Amino acid sequence: MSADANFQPKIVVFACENSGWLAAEHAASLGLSYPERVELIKLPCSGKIDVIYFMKALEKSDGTMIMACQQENCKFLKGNVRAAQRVRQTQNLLKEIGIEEDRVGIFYLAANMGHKFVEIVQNFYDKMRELGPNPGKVIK
Amino acid sequence: MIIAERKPIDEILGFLSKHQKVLVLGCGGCVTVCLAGGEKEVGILGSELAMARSKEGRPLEVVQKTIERQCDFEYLEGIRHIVKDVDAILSLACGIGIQTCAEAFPDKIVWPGVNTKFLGVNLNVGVWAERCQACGQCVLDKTGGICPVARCSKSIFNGPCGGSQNGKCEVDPDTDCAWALIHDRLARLGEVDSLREIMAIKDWSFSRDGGPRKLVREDLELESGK
Amino acid sequence: MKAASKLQRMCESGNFVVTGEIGPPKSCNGEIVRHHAKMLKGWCESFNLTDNQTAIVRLSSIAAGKILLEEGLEPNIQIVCRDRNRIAAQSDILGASALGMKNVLCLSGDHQKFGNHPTAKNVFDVDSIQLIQILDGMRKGYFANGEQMKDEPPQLFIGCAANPFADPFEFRVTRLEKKADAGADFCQTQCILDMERFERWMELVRARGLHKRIKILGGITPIKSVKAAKYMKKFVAGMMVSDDLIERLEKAEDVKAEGLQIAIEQIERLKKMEGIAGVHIMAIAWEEKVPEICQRAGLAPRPEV
Repeated sequence: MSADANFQPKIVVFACENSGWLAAEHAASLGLSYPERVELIKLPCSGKIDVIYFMKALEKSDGTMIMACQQENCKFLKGNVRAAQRVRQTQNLLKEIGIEEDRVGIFYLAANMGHKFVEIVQNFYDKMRELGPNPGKVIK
Repeated sequence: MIIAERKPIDEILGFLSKHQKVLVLGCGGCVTVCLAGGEKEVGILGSELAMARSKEGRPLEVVQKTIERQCDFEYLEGIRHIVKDVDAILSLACGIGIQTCAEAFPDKIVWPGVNTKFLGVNLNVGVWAERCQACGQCVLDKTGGICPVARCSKSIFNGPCGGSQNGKCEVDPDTDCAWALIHDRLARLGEVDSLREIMAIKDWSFSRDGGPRKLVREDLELESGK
Repeated sequence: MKAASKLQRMCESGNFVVTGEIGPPKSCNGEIVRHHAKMLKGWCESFNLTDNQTAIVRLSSIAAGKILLEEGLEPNIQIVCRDRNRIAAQSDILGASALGMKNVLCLSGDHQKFGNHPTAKNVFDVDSIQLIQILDGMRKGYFANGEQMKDEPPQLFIGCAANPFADPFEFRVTRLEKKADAGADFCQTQCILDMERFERWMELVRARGLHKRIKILGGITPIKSVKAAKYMKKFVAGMMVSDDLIERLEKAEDVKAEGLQIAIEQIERLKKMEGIAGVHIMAIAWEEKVPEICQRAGLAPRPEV
């Protein structure tokens, strides 16, 4: 548990425009809320994510994730598979420099899952709260 | 293409331990293509270094830049103003680029960020293999376009040796026996009998064994000599 | 100039030739070489002295050869291309020759990866066939650069290895032919543990008349255990072990006795095979059995030539 009870993690969420992004909109239409310090970035496909985006995100945040379409359900066939691979690559880099690899993750959902979207974000946020501030954060 | 691989992060962090501001310098040539030292790798390494040092509580300012080619002095000239303000340069170019960089900026420490591995080809995503050893006197005319110097573990000229089995090299079962490849290719081309002739001992003076090499083409030289 | 070594005289006499092998120790203890020399004296015409075999640092083959000469045995110096360039190789040949050694066996050499110094740089300035050519030139009075020697040339009887069990199969015969072309006088084969394949190879050798140009000694290695046989079959590149042989060992009550028996039968078979000039017995870490093998295979006593 973080030493600072008031710690509010900053999170960067990359979202595929065919699932995560639409699910966020769905959540909004349902009037669901999620933590404030969450930045959403729209991608044309989860396969657009790259190690470098995760790393740049982590320079200024406590955690980052990619929201991808359900497995076997990528519009571009393998985008979500590639995304998972890049999450693993990023985790390896973090491990090398002694930063918790859980600060990056991949989550799968569909466009009509507003509730699921909020649940994922909230869980990840709670997890980051547990981990505490990103020790490698460069831009504070 | 020159194939390189990024050095382990701990080694690089060790190099940079006493610096506060470094230039991570990428190269747009071979190392970009082999994913070791192009713009993206500069970005990733830059983040890694900055985060690692942040975590230690000794922040490192990382300037990121990738130029067309580090093995050409003219491209290095273009970053003189950036170099002026950093403690050191971490070059992600191949060994040639790193040295050219050091030569261009004699008053600046230049650290190598990659290990230059070999001259090779990209076989698959994430897979590269050696093809040439720059021996200076090409023998591919005699060996069906497959190089025994670079691709035979023993660089022999009258192979395959007794360790060739099922087309693989005894040194590593994942490596093709170059001489089995040469034999099979020449057989396919109906030229296998050419292998009955003994290839004479090689003149290694054209290779590194003759000392560091230099090529001068007078037909191309300009009056200034530069 | 050819060497007039005992091995050469035997090869030319038409008698069935027997050579043996002694692996120098991983120390400077020459007494170990001397011990083996005393044990094996008289059982073979000549004894190979391995040159840092499997790329493990050992007492030098030429130094071990000198000990053999002192004990009255004839050495056959192995020389690998892995550790010497053409300068060192020629120098060693001159040195060995000055010490009275006449038989030299040219090999590429096991890659250093397999040895105890895998981080070493290898040489391979020349390959084994080119080394044979160089030695052939030397005995004719020329150095590798074409320079004529000002003094007596070394007397050499030049050997090579052949591996009928490596690939590509047909090309193994061409490679032997190249070695004969380069000037090799005799050849010792990789140890035969698959007689059927060996016979097929010999057919091709005879078809090209190679047996008339180069003396072929079949490699014999008595197998001590089923495990060793299986290991060689599975893990040693360029080695073949027939299933029959493994089965015979498996069924045997006394595996070691059966291993010896197989070796003896193989020698009997080679004696009758057209184009085979003799055998090269490599009793690795089992040198004490060489006299028994020779005796039981009817190879003793050795004829005087």
